[in-house]
Amino acid sequence: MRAPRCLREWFAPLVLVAACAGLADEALSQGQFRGDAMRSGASRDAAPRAEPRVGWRFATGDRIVSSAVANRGVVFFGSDDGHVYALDAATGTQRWKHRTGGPVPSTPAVADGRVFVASYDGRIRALDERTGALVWSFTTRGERRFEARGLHGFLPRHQTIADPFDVYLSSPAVAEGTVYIGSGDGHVYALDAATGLPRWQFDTGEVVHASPAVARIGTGSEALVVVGSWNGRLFALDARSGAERWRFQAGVDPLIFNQQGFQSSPTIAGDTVYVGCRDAHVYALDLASGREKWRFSTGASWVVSTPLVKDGRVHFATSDTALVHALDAATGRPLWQQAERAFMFGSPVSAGDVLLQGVLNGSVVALDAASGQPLWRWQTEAARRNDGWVLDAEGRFNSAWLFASPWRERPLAAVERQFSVGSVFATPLVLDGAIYIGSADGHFYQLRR
Amino acid sequence: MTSTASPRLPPAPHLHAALQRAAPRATLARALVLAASSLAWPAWADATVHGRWEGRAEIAGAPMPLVVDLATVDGRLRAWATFPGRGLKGAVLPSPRLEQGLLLLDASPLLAHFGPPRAPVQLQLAVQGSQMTGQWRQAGLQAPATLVRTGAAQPEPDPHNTPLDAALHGTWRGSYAIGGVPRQVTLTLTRDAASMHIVGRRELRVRFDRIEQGEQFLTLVSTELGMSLEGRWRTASGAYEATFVQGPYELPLTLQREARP
Repeated sequence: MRAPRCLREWFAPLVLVAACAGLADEALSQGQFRGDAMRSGASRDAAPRAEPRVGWRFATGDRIVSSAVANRGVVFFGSDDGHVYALDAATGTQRWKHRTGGPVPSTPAVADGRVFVASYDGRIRALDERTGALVWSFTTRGERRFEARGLHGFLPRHQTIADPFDVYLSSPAVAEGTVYIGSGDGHVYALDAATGLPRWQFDTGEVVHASPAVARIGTGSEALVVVGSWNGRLFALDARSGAERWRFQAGVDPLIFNQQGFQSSPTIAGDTVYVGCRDAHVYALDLASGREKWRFSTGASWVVSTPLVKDGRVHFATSDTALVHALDAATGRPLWQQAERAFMFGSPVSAGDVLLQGVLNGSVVALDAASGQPLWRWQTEAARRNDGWVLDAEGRFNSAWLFASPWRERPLAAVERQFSVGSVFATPLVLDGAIYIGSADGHFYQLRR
Repeated sequence: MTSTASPRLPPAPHLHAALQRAAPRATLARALVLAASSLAWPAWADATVHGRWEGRAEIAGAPMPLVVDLATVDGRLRAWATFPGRGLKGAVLPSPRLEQGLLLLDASPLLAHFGPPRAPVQLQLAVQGSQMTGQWRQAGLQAPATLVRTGAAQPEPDPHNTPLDAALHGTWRGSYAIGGVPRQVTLTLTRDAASMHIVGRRELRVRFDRIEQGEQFLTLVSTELGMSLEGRWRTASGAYEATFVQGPYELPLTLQREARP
């Protein structure tokens, strides 16, 4: 692997410095989920502080859960209609689309002229960045959603139920010529980026739909792949061999499996791993050893969003309590929290002095990064229309109305109806002052001043 | 949206006649009658809304069928709701009010399974003969609603609790755990009441509104909290071996009767 790519992907601060120094090639690259293999989540461009308008929108055939990545003026994302799309960022014109064999709620990664992505047909594909043509594909043991008996208290209690909130697939991390990705078959795979041949695989024991983060330990040569599994275990694996270096056990919920599982992807900043968990905590762990530095409890609210670490603060969003939090990165001490109106699964992005956050009530909110004060809120048309009273008059989920029965398919249908307002699962991408975001209304939007 | 203006009920025939006879008399008398009628809408006026009413609320994208039964029981207007598809049949609508031709029904308790509603859940209907039109309100939203009388009311019989045997009276104790958090339970039974005190990280006092005792079986339900105990009690061992349901959780719970002094 060439040294510059290694630097770019494993030494984000250097990358930022380099980008600021005018490496034109890097200036427009946001090639992986949350920017890089460490899942930094800090955009190089500033987001508008005033409410944006829709610059253009692009219709796909089903909901969009995937976040977008960009390279050289092209944005790439997946849709649950089974396609990977490449659009001209300025105009929204389709450059190409590639048909996979199933929904694509995985965020692609762009590196070395290739687009890497996972889809529900259980395959990981490499596509030609310019044409969308298939370069290689790797078949896992098969995708599946997390499932458990009596999940979330849905009835009957002894029925195995697939989790309707398990909406994402793992997104690839690309580093040193290797594609790292999790799978619903419980494995983490390391694939040769050039050929798709497996370098190693590691069985976590349960669904892996979180996305791995990859980083070197200190200034040494050893790099770790950190990823969580739905059994509540976070693993650190040697990037070269796949050997387990440490594991961290978070909370489990053997009764209804509600307060359990890493759906959140870890963020690595310096020598610390920050990760949210459905057990209602955010953890800060030592990268080298897995030792817990601190934990923050959200009450009983899931943390699905991937933490953002910037300026000594950790930002993340919660589900049921609908809060955007800012904690002191060193101690976990709360600095501020801002109440939103609905569950948040997507991850906050820092763009200049603005935090952007997708909300499942079909909106994107912008907060002042320092204070948490709301700057603006943009809603999808479906959210404004609010067919079937999915939202109440204040934009909160109308749960008492939607969840009329916990039996059989009824709660699952209610969850699907929640998403019909255009839930924003994705993490916003900021490029050249514009925001790019997909929605469960099936549209991909460019928002700009 | 349909207007919420409230047309007045046509006067009941005998009142109407009385008013006609009184026409030449002092206006004061008429005013007194009207004032009295508006202070307390008489029971006979309630009869104008008796019956089974069927219709729907026109919620955009998801019209909601509504069935309401209205009848006077023990001199008091009572209402029951059946919402097909929402698991509600013959649910009591508390304190229905008929005021000057406007029927007000509060359905808030029926949709309280996620905690008390932030905004009232109401049906507000203007009665016009065999048709009622108005608004269905929920979560701060409103939609036009229309119901027509389709027949006689089909009131739901009130559930009757069973008086508990003296053998069960007293204090029963046990414990259970959810999410690794132990909870101590104290159940208190008297002839006509059952209550439970749960102490975990927090305290919860439960008053059971449904009490059914069979020969060896005891069922206690708190409709408000979605909590129930159902199981067998054994006089010899002084144990109540129940299945305990608390919201989404179901687990075995054995309570031991405290020795009597």
